[in-house]
Amino acid sequence: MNILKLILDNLRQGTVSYRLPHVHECTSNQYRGLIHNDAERCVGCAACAYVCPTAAIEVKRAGDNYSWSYDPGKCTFCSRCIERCRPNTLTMESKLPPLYSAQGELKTVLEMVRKRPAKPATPAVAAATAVASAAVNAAAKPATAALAPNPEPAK
Amino acid sequence: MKVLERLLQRARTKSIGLFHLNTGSCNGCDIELVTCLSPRYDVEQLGIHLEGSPRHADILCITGPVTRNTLEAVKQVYAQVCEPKAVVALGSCPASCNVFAGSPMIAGPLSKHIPVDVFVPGCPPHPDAIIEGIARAAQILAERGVAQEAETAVQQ
Amino acid sequence: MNTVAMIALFAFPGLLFAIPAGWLSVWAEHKAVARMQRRIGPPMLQPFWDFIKLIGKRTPARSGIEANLLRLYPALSILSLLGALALLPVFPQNGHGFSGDGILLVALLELPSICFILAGFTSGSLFGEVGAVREAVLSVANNLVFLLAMVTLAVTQDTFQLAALGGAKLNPGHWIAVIGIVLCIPAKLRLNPFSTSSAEQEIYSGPLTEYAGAALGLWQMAHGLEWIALTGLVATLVMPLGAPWWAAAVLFVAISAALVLLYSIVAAATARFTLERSINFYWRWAAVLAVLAIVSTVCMRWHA
Repeated sequence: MNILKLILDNLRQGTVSYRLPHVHECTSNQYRGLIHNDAERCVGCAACAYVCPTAAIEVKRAGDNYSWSYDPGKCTFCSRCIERCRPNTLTMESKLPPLYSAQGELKTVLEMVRKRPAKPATPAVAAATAVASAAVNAAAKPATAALAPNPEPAK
Repeated sequence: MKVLERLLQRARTKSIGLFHLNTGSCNGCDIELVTCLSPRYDVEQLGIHLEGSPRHADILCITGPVTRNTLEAVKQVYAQVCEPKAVVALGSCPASCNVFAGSPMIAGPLSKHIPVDVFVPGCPPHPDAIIEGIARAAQILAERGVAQEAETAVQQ
Repeated sequence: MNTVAMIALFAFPGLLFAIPAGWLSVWAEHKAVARMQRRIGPPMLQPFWDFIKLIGKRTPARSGIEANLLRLYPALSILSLLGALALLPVFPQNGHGFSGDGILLVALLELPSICFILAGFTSGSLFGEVGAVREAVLSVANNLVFLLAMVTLAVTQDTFQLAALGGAKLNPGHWIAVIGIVLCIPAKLRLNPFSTSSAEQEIYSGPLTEYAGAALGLWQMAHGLEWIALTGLVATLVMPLGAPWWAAAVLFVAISAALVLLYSIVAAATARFTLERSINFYWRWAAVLAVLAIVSTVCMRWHA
């Protein structure tokens, strides 16, 4: 009577249930939770919005200003955005996303200004900077030559 | 009577009947809900049990983006649950239709059709989050019961 | 009505004892099944909290004869079960029964099942009809064995009076009849493996699908009382004779508790039988046993 033996084993081994309420401990730092964006380093490439399958991340541009918004209610926690983010500004929390009661309550919106790289200067200034950088390079060369091994035997 | 009211309020948090309705879900959230009843989490120790009929239940757990075919069923089942009642939307599908948003077969997020009390985010949500969501809905339900009783007392 | 009858009806094993004991039996079965599945199971007061919560529900307003009938059925079940409990020969030597009260006991124990079936048909729900049909077929199946067992008991003592039937006897016919009754009880209580009529979620809630609120609470209380009445019947049939009243009461409770545990183990160990298989079990195997019992008992009485 296999089932009776099973029941006896179960009674002997006791329960496997957590005693509720159970505080969830995230044992893995790779758990997929809410997305956070680092506003200081985000460049506004919108690759995350492009690959997001549910349009939870939206990027709206107006000139150099753009707003990055994220709605956890729509998120499916696939982490495609994090894979695509080149400056690595997007991070994922390692805990359970919180409950909410009103639709769209957890939506976060970040307003940022696009950081452009420094503009190239006028041609005269460009030549001067080129000469200056060449002199720096020439001065660097003998120093490196002195450091190079001498092929003639030392006398 | 004050004693009966307090007893009722206590009973509404100690005895919770769930009715689970799948409105076109991929079954991920449904599996996580049934996991709550399995030996590892065992919500029966909190007095939560699955009911067979919506009339016996207090809390409606809904999964899935509401498809066109299930829209009537959702409205009917919501009407059949007896007051006081609460609605828990499990997962991101009832909250926003997830990847199916904009499809002609989807009748929109759940809150367009029935009032939702607790949204449990996740795809699928963790059983711990589901249990917390049900517990919060039970609190809301107990307070709603007190409010409804006060209303009928005023009316009479 | 003498004092013993009043005590039996209202105190033990009547109203005051039966309602908490019924809730305790329901809890014990859930807890035992949970422990056997390595779960924790509900807290002890769970059936009480379920009842209180159901009283506070606002039920849909129904009108007409059906509404009143639907409210009548659980109340009728509870009243008939209380009557059956009052008739049980827990203290047989005090003799508060009357000739033929065994037949009344069988009728009173059958009434909740009939109310369950009628509730399914009256509720107008498809699932109610399916559940009611299943319960009717199951009832016909297990009542054959139950009635043959009761008749065997009566033939061994040459009377239907419960005071004479109660207590453990040396007669083998008595014990075969007790085995027959023990086999019928899971079907009457709608437990696994004979839970096809109130199949959880298979047919939504079966005959009780349209019930809500206080009426549903009364049905659950009736289920608890059924536990006590049926296990109590077996307990009175196996108790040793001539025990003082306090020992009889303690033995009654102890044997009922042992039976609750036995049925919990059977419920945890088995799955749901289909209707065909249930009928097969009762009409082929258990009925053979019961027919043998009654034939042998009649032969023994004839030759004695």
